[in-house]
This record gives sequence, C-alpha cells and structure tokens, in this order.
Amino acid sequence: MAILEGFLKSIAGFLQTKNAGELKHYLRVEPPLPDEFMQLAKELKSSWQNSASLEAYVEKLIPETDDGGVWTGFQVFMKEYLEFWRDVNFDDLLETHSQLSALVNACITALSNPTYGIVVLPTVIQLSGNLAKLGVMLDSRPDLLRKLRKTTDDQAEGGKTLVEGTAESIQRAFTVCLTERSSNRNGIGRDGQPEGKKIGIYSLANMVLKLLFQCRKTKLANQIFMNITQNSPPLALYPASQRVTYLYYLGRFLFDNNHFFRAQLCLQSAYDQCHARCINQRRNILIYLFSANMILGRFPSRTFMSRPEAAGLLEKFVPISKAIRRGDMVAFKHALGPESGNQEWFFRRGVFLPLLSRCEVLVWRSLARRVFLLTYQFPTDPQSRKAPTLDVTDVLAAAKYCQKTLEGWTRQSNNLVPPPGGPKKLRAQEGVIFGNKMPNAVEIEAVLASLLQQGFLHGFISHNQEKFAILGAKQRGPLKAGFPEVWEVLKARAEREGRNSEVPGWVQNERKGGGGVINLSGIARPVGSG
Amino acid sequence: MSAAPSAGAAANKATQDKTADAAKDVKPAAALEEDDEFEDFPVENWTKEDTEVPGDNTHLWEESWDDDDTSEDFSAQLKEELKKVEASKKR
Repeated sequence: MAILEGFLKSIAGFLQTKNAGELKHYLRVEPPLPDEFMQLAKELKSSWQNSASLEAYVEKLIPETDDGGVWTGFQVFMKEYLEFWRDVNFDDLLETHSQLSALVNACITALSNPTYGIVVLPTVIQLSGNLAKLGVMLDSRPDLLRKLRKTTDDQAEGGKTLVEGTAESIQRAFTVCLTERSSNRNGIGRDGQPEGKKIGIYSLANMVLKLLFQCRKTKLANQIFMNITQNSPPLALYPASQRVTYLYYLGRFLFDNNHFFRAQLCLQSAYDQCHARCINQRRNILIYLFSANMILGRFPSRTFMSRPEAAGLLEKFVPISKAIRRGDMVAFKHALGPESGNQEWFFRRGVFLPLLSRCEVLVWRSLARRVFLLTYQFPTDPQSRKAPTLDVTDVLAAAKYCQKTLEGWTRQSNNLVPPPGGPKKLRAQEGVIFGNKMPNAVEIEAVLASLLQQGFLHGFISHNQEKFAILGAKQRGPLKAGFPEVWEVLKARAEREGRNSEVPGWVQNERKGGGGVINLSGIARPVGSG
Repeated sequence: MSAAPSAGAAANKATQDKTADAAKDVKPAAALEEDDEFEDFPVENWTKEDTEVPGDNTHLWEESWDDDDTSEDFSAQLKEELKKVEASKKR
C-alpha cells in the first residue's frame, strides 16, 4: 500500500507548491522508466482493481481545498493515470494507444482550468509527445492498423485514421494554450516571454503538424495557421528548436498550396536558424527549399557542395537545373523520369508534380531563348530600327525534335527516323505537349503567349507573321530585353503584391488589435506566383 | 560473445539491400536516405553562433544562369533541325 500512498502525497505536495517540473517528472508513461513505476503498477494491479475505490482514495489523498491548488479536473486525470498503469500492456500497442489517448484527453481537460491548469502544461506536452510518437509508430504498422479497421468499421468513425484522431486530440491542447485569456496585451508577460499557457503553443502545434503531414491530411493544418496568425505572440519569442520545426512545416504547407515564394521565405529562415550540426533537419528543409527556389528560378550554388546535408541531394536536383539552363526538354523529362532513378524519391517527398509542372515552364523559356540564339542574325546596319524576332516555326521545329527524341527517334544520315517497333509510348507527362501528341504551330504559339503573359518573354506576338518580336532590344540587347531573368520577374511580382514581407501563419510582430481573416487556400496560378 | 556485432552486421545488410538500386549515391547520403522523417531536435534551444557553418554563406543561390554556350550536343542537334526549316522557308 505504501507506494501508491507515497506517490499521491508527493503529487499533492507538488500541486501545493505549484512545482510543474516535478509533477511532469512523476507523471511519466514512456519506458524505460525507473523500477518504482513497475512497482506502482504491480500494486495497482493487485489491490486497486475497483475503480470507484481508487477514485475515492485519490480524492482522499489529493483533496480539493481552497488553496491546495487541487481541482476536480486534476483528480479525474489522476485516477485516469493510475488506471493507465494498472491496465497497460505495452505488448499491445493498439490498446496502449487507446489508453494513452484517454489519458491525454483527461490531462487536457485538467489543463483547461483557468486558475490551476497551467501546472499540468509540461505534463500535457510530455504525454502528447508520447502519444504522437506512438501514433507515428503505429502508422508504419499496417498489420496492426488492419485489426483496428476491422473493429471500427461497424462503429462508423467517419473514416478518420488513427493518426488523424491523435492529431485532433493534441490540437485540443494547442487550442487551450492559444486561446487562453491573458492579462497582458498580446500574451506577452512583463519579462518579455510568452505568458502562461501560451508558452506551449508551438510545441503542441508542431506535434499536430507532424501527425497531419504523416497522414497526408495537410489541408487540416490550415486551421492551425489561421488560429496562430490571430492569437499567437511572435514566433521569435520561442526556443530555436520550436521556431525551426514550425517554419519547416509552414513552408511545406505553403509549398503544397503552390505559394512558392512564401514557402521559400519560411524554409530559408528555418534553414538559417537550424543548428549547424542537425543534419537530418537541415537536409529535410533543403529538399523543399531547393524545390521552391528552382520553381522560382533560383538554383542551388556550389556553396552547397561542401555541406554534408546536401550530399546526395545535389545529384538529384542538378540534372534538372542543367536541363532548364539549356532549354533541353529531353534532358528535363529524363531528369524527373524513371531514367533518373530518382522519380520515386521525388514523388515520395511530395515534390515530383510541382517540379515537373512548374519547372517545365522555365524549360520552355530557355528553349525559346536557345532557338533565338541559334537563329537570330544581328543586323549589319547598327541604325536598324527593326525589332529582333523569333519564328514560331523555328520553336516548333525544336519542340518536334524534342518530342521525337523522347519517342526514341534516332538520326540516320541527317534525318530523324522512328524506332523500328514504332515510337515509344509516352504517358501524358512524358511528352512535350501531352503523351505522343506531336506539337503543332497553334500549341507552340500558345506556349509563347503564356510565357509572355507570365512575364518570362518581353515583347509581342504577331499571329499573322507567326513571329515573336522583342521590345526594348535597343537599350538592353535582344537577349536581356526579350528573355528577362525568371527570379527577377517573380521577385518583382511578389514585391508588388506584398508577398515578400508578410507570411500568413508566421507571426513576426506583436499583434495590434483584432486580426483579419486570411485565406490560405491554394488556387491554381501561373508558375511561382506563390 | 555479445549480440552487438551481429546486430550491427544485420543492420548493415539491411542498408545495402535498401540502397542497392541507388548505387550511384555516395555513402553518407545513402545512410541519410533511410530517415525521411523530420526528427525531433536533440536540444531545445541554441544561439546564433551554433547555426553558423564554415565557408561562404552569402552566395547560396544562382539567379543568373542562362547558358549561352551553343557548342554542346543539344544545340548541335537543334541546329541541324533549324537548318532544314531554313531551307524550306527559302523554297
């Protein structure tokens, strides 16, 4: 009997002195743990099978008094905690997850008490972390999850997965922290630190985000970012590990929603603030930072060659940037195709389709530029006022060459001939236009018009003459005038639209009064418009 | 003796199997390849100095990358095709 009695008395003492750290230390669940926990479990198993008497005993040793710092929510959580240790069987991970979920929920309810709840905040963060870890671990065990699906099918759970449910539980704790009414303006205390429960906002948000990305329900993260925008103290007030993790997930969320410029801002900041020796995290950030920047027309420089986190990554991305530089559509399709050996990797990391569809626009720009380089005759008369032009038929010939090469045609005595067994069957995204569709003049003119509209070509198209004419060549030269640098174009547009300074979800300054509604939903836009 | 060496060998074998199809990858990358997951940080907080890496940190991105070299194979192939277009225009 002595163990439980001593345990509960210690807990009562911590509540009295508001010792949140010791409380968290006593309320652990994740092995390995000191032997005392096993002995406590043994005693609970042998003597406290009756939950009603256990509850009465908790209420007796941790009584609700006026100034003892005890509240009903805590007593309920305490009983739940002891039942957990009484009933848990760590060999049955599914059952453990369900018991731990119940425990976390009770702990969050205890946390929500406006007067006393704060003392369990470190415990909530600790137990939520344990639950999140178990959730992620179970997600990679389809053999176990299948069992769960069988039992929940009848109960019509609304198709929610275990990981999603776990995220939802922890999100409750996040909301309690975020929406706590604070005595000081903006939730910042006199010491300049986040006040009260607000200190827990980003630890909990990061756990939820990790789970949502794990189960690929990233749309649900929208809620978190919106609430943070409206209620959180500035991110800069939180520890580095929380800042970097949060900016990583916010960057990935923006990337998934085609907001590449903002994604790049978050990911660059995450990378810059990351500890130099945390290679795993730096590498994960780089994958999306490389992808976002390439879509925006910025390529990783040689600086990365000496960085351990970029090892193996540059080999995957450099063939893409090399193909874009040359306008080599064949090399581009191959750099992202099965030929590269990297296609599955790009796909798994969620960057395959964005890279393929967005960077292709940049390849078209370079291809048009290359054809211009190969065909333009500089005027012999320096006073000539004729605008430099590019023939649509020339670009068409280049596009056809690329399509034929992709289909396996080869050059024989200066003519391209199809392979003996007929052209290679191409899937939709493997062809220049669409699968085995041979490009025609209408399509090429449409491509050029689209480049023009996006600002990647500067001039106008004459449909009758089938030509693209460059404007402003006299001052800047035809190449600089006709084919502006992609990054310059996209950066200028972001600056014009105010997307270069503020990022929804990233609180950089103290809030002034009520926040507005910010719509984060992704809408299909031209390349790099994010 | 202890089980540690054989366990290590088994782990090595698993690594080899996993990366056999990506033989081009250099070794440290192959090792990194295994952990897709963004791990929890081992420490809670650090200073600005801890984030600094040796070498040039100012020039991370290439913004002017247009390639004007037309002597490589892709351009040579395009030239051949463009010559034919030129010839047909004159006809």
